Amino acid sequence: MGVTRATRNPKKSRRHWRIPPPPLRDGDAPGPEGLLVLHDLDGDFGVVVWKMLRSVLLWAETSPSDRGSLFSPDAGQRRRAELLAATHGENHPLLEPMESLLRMMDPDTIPDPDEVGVACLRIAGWADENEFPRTAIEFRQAAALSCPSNPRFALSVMRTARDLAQYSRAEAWFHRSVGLARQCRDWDTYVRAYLAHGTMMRRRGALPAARRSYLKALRRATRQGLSEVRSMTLHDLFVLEEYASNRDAADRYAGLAADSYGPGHRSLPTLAHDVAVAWLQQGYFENSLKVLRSVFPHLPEAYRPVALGSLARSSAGVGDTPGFSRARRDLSRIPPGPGVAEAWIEVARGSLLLGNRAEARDAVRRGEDLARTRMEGQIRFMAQSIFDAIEAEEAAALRQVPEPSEGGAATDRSRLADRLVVLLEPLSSGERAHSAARR
Amino acid sequence: MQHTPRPLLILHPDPVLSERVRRAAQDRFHTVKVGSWEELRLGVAEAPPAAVVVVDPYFGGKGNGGGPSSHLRELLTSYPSATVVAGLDSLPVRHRDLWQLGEWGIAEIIQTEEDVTLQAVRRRLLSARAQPLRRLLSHDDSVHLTGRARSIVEAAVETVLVGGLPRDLARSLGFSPSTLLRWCERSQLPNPRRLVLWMRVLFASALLDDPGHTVFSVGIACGYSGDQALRRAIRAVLPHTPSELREAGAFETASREFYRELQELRDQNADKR
Repeated sequence: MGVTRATRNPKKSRRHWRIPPPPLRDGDAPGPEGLLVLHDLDGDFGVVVWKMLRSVLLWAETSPSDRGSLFSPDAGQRRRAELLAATHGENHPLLEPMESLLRMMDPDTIPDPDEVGVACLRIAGWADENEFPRTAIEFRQAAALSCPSNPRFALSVMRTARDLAQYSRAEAWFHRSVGLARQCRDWDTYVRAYLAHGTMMRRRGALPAARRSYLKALRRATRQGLSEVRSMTLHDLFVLEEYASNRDAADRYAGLAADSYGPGHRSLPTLAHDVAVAWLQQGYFENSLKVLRSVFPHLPEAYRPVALGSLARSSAGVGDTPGFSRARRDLSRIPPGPGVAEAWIEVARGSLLLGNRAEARDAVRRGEDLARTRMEGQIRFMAQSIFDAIEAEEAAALRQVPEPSEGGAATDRSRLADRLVVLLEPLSSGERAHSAARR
Repeated sequence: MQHTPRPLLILHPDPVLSERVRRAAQDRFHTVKVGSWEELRLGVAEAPPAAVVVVDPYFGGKGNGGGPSSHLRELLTSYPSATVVAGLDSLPVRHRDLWQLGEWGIAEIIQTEEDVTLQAVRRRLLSARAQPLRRLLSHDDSVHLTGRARSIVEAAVETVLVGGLPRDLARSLGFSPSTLLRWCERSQLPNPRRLVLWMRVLFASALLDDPGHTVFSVGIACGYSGDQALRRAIRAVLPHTPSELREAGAFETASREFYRELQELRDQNADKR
């Protein structure tokens, strides 16, 4: 039996990939290492977290043979006392990961680099939850430096840098993550790195570069038989082609992604929702409504407001006034939060489709108020354009593209809608079985 | 090009810290202990760009919680390109002071109660290297540097700082000189030789902008034999004399020209293909 690419010994690989060192600091950051943590975290607690970060970086960048004498014997005790004083003895969520890191300062223990890395990632996760992005990236970077050969840690730095719009830093960590993944043949991380890069390029508007990364990810995922990441790649390719207005390609990738996820897959509702919203924007109300109705019960909480707005608009699009009113009523019960303002804008568009200008004005006002308090500039811009349309009595212009009654594309779309509904079916039966078991 | 010894100026009352810094830096720096802010100022005026200064930010103060010394602020305003490291007890109550030092342009902090080993102090000094120049370079966002390009430029800054040549730059990145040349082309950067030359000129320009320096002292500080040699080096990449550069804002003019060259090298359609 021949040796497959996946099992070949990496030491025998002839190609030697160079991985340049990534930039460790954002150029605009104030001088001392890690000081941005103090931008996020105020007071005594901030200083203790900052000092811990610096200790990890110092430990990570010192050769293992010199680490034993890196800290004074009482450094751990002192840091522990400072930490307890800064948290006022409360049961703070960071105490546990910090305690793991304190072992690094104990001269009698030799901590496992992976353990240090995981503790840093837990602190980064806490920082994400509390919206301290600078602290999050600093600790992710500390994790990646603690375990310099782990491509997953490098990839997590890349994603955070990308979300902070530090693109050159993200790109450097992307190359590092790909290089490391290739060295240790971690193809799952390799594909995920290309997916993350594709998303970054899409957000920056470099669509061909994004497509290149996604296709590279798709090829590798197919070649290594990684079905999970292959499905994710097809899903991302659908989003990209939709964004690029390549409708046929988008529908094709959506169909492939749906088949690849398979019946009842946990990511299927997100794909179905994305497809339905895309059809809604193009004016294919009937197919959109069919999928939205089927997917709504399975969507994560965060998607619910936008889905209700989309349901309202698509119901209005097919002339289902009771369906529109039901969706509108459900939306009005949702407290202000992410996506709610956007949902009200969709409701306003639905009202216009039904010819109810007063209700449209009310909905758009609610959306704009929410967008103002949440500083969502793009939604306010959309709200203003609908106000203008109402004022100019151009409601008809908002009816967009009429749904084609015939033609191959329409048939394909309708077939895809039916397929999505069928694929979502196991989720419903699974939930019914789950609730019956609970009863 | 002459290799001048890298001075490390220390203004700190703590003899233990001073000794620790001296021992940590002995193979890389020539340490000079100074006794006052005025003496330090004179030392910085004559120092090359690779010099590092270690100060107690509260030196000469009454220690009544009034924050870092105004002398330090004046020093950083007069010599923004200087690499200044603050040595202080990083007590949790000093939150504001730490942030303020960062805003003033301190390159690094040695935590006197924590950084007690030679490895720790050495790493802090290495981390401070070229920090002011990196900050100055990052302010221009007219050209988007790719991740690879940024890694190479950052390595070039550090190489030039210690008087290195293109082959040292390749070594610091773990490449052979020919691989570095290929990477520079792929990253849309000038060839390594020209990149190193640009970094030298940018260093000199940063010093020219410091009000406390003369053109002659900048030439000497950058390892040239005087102002004429500095003029020739600048002329190789810019159509200006040092005095003209200074009048126009040396670093701004030089970095603008550097980024223009990068712009010319940039393949605008790289992302679109």
